[in-house]
Amino acid sequence: MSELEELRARVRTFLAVELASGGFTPRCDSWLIGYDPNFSRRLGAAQLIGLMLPTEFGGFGGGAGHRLVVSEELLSAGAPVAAHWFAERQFAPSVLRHGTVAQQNEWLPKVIRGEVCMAIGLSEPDAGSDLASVRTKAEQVDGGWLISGTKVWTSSAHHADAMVVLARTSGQRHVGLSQFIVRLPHPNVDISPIRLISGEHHFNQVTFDEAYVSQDDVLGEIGNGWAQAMHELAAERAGPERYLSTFPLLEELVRDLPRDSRSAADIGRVIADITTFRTINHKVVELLISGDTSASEIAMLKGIGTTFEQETVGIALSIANEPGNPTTLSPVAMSLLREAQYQAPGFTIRGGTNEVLRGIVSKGLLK
Amino acid sequence: MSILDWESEEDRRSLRRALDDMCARSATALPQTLVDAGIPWIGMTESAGGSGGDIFDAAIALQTLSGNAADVIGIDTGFVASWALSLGGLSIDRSLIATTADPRNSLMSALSSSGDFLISGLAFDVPVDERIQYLLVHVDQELALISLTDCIIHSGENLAGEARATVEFNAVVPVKHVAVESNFTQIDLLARLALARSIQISGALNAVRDLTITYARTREQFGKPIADQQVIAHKLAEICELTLMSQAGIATALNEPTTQNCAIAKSVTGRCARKASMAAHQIHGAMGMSQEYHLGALTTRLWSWTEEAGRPEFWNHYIGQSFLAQSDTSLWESIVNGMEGLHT
Repeated sequence: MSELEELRARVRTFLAVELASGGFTPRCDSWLIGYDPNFSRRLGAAQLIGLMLPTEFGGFGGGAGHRLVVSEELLSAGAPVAAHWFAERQFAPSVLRHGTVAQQNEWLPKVIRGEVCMAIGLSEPDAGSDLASVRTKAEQVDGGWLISGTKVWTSSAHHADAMVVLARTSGQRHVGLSQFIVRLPHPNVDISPIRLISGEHHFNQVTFDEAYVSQDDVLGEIGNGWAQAMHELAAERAGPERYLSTFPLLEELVRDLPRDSRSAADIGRVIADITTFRTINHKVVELLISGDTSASEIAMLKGIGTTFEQETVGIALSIANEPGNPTTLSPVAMSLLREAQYQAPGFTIRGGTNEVLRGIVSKGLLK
Repeated sequence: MSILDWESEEDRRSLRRALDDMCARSATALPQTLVDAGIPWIGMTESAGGSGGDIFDAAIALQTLSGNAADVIGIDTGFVASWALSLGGLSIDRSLIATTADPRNSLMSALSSSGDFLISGLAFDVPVDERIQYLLVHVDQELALISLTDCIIHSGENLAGEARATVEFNAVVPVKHVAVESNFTQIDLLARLALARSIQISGALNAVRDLTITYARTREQFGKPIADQQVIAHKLAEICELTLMSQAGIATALNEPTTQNCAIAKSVTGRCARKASMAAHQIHGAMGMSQEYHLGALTTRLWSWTEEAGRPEFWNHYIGQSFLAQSDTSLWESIVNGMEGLHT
């Protein structure tokens, strides 16, 4: 067995033990709505967080291939990884690249142990797709900064230990932006829920009223926030969470199908597309490692992957209703189907709408 | 290196350039030029009478010639026929061999009183004309090479004007035949043919993308290039997405040409071809409908190749049925296993 195959086997064993002991119930979109800090800690204890982070901080010291194997195994199983997902995916690489030694020593070991829940504060009421219109501002004061403004659609802020806030430090559109680590809870930070159409609370509106942040909690350089955020966004856009969000539902639905099921072609299409996305994903991972975060393949994978995710909801409904297939859904399947339906519109919006992504692709073409 | 980068090796780029040059010269002389250069036999070892090179080199040839909408009858000899013949331990000197494994074919074999192996029946949409000497078929667990002079050929054409004949067999004695193992069935031969068509589709799609981008940047309406209109820019991006998807479909299969991966390639490239060809025509407006303009030569090929060697729905059904037929593997495991060894 190769190293990656061994790693894959290790994740599968971990998940099998968790499932057998009732450690989690599979969920669709589990990287966003599957919040379970204890699961994250168990995953950390099993050395399955921080695959690409250096061993000196307790990480695995592996490559992007290692992280991809672990991510796709966790997501395809619907494991509840939301508690540590943003900390590992965006925050830790950013701290490693731009952070001070003190920040690295403080945060990375905790992230790797699965103990950190991070929120990423990008979108604002008037800055969604047009992210550079950010108006939240940071004013320099003695020993630190005062942050004022409002962030919206911030995932997990109500659980988070800290939030990375993109704020304006000068008037220039792009180079006037900087990133700050705001520790939570904070007396001058108000977090209120934005409930989704499912009624669930995953997103928040976060208001900063002259919230003090120490100079030690500036992430990277003042004025480099846009470049840093774009790097994080590239990492956010390019993973298996862009084509596996509904996979736990599909897995559950195909389990008890008869051999002559009329859904065969639907299943074949799912296998064909995901196989192909995985090939593109490996290419994208290489691009990210090489630092080429503007490559159009990254935007394209998110575009086609999330469009596919939405289509799988229709495929799932078709499998659920096809004559000859089991007539009643298990409670787990029913719950997964509901989740997929509620979450589906968001697939092509979050992390940059597909329209923004196609803008990136076409700009690359016409340069 | 990503398996998506298989085309970028210097040897393959120079093969591509050489083929592009051949296509740029005389279209009428091209078939003979290709034969003289040994192109149809790339992928066959030299000891077996081939031109050497591997499956990737053969794919470059299929892809490049298809992107030029060139006359490619017989060009898949090395990629499909000689590959299948080598599985049966057979080889054949340089000749052009077509392969047919269409699901609609009705072929049967019989033994004559003198013990000859005889084949009768019909094969549909076979890419043969007077240049092709032999036809390879899979019948009753035998691979058989038939001389076309022994068959009745009802010639026809596909949408792109490529030769597609109905071939009639009346107790034909094959030139060669060999029993193949029971795990090599007609579907496996069809899958290899499907991969060849997928590679062709990918080549034509690359060309459609390039042509459409160039057109949209050049054509001005309302005082600016139409590519500057956001709706057009997004449609161009969509064509690029579909092209990337088909490149990934064939890269996966070339890297590990299992029947499942070949089936996936055809499912993916065929569906992408349908969408991308319509988007390209929409961007071109009326111009794309003109016979003089190059787009139609590519899109009519895309439509024909998408339907040949198993249309996407055929292969989706095949892949899904294969999954349903085994009871102890999860959907996820079967996706990962299908690519085993690929990235390790």
